[in-house]
Amino acid sequence: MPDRRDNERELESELQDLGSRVEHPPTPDLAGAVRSRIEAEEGARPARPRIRRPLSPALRGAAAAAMLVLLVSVPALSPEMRGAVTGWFEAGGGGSAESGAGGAPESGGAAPDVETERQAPGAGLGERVTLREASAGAEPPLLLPEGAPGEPEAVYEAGSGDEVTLVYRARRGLPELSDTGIGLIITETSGDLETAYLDGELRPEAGRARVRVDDDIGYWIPAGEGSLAGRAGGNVLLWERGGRALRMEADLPKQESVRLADSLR
Amino acid sequence: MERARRGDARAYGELVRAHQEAAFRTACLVSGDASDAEDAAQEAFVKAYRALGRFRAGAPFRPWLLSIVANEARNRRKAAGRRAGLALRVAAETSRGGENPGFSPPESAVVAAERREELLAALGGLGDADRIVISCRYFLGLSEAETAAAAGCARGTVKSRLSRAIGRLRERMREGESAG
Repeated sequence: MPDRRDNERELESELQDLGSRVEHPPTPDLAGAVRSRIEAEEGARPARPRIRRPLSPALRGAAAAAMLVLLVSVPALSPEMRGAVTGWFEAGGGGSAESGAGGAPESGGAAPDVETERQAPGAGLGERVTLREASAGAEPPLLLPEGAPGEPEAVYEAGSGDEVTLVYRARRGLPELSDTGIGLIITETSGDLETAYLDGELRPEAGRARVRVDDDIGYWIPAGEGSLAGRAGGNVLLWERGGRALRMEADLPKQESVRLADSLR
Repeated sequence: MERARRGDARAYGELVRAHQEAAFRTACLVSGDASDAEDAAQEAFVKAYRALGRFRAGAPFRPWLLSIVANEARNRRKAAGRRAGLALRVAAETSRGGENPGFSPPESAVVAAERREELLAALGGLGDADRIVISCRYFLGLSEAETAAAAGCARGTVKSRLSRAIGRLRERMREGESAG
């Protein structure tokens, strides 16, 4: 005589068979609709409008002019240009962009005067801000190196916060870029690489090598090569991560640049 | 997942594609309407994206997602004032003689097909909680954790809920056989 458990097992078996024969309604393409909604919501945020270009035309012009001067005069900068570039740190003081905390940088710069630093714009990089200000509400979140070189000495914000540039003094492990006192420049822009930097200009060019930064594809542009070459005479690495297009300029070989880029979280 | 958590919308799109079938089918079961299910699943994915920062790294994504899906689907069913019926059918039988329209399937196949229809009807007559837990487990092939999320119950209670639901289903089948 079949007991209750036998009956249950038989019923479970019938349910499994039924499950293999059930007709489900066709699954719609949700991925496209979800992505459109997310992008529409992000685009509709009034406080931080998505800006397709990393710089306004005026700032781009200033940056381009500065870049041209740097390319022409590499490795020696004119006294005027050198003054402008070192002004990134020393307009009103040098050192960490945060409120005076932390030790002086290895290059021995003066302790920061935070208030006057805030008023001094970098060379076409936007408004000088603190790291806390740049990080507050940043979406997607800003990426910072885990470990060395830590927090930047200066931070600039452009395009209503969609572009943030982190500037590090030269130090051991970060050779100085063209007599500027700078060792590393990291620019983070909301959006993808194509929109922020490449904009349909991606063509196979000598020196523009594809590299892998973690799981992401990046582009390596040696110093002085092409329109995306470094503004301070360094090698440039471009890559995407976490919803941001990233640009790193340093006088570092490719492998070390990729390793440093990999550490940004 | 890690890229999506950092705000990479493209990476999240891949995540949506990987889970949209389970999400949509769960929403259908809970809401009882395919159109509402599509809305519910879409809204759930958008909400999940906004909440990714709170999602514990390394935890399985699907159970968490399905709990959001089930909530959205339940809200829509309540708003529509609908008692969810089982929005599923058994696929049309294809016999060995399918190419020949005049071929009659063997009697056993007819009996089996009738039995399946009875089972589906009995399932549709169960309470929502019983119907959902059985359907998630046997029709969607969800794991215990995923079934618990969709049914809105604790994972540890899924086995016992399933057992009681199957017991009630068996009773309904017996009542149907007695009446027939």
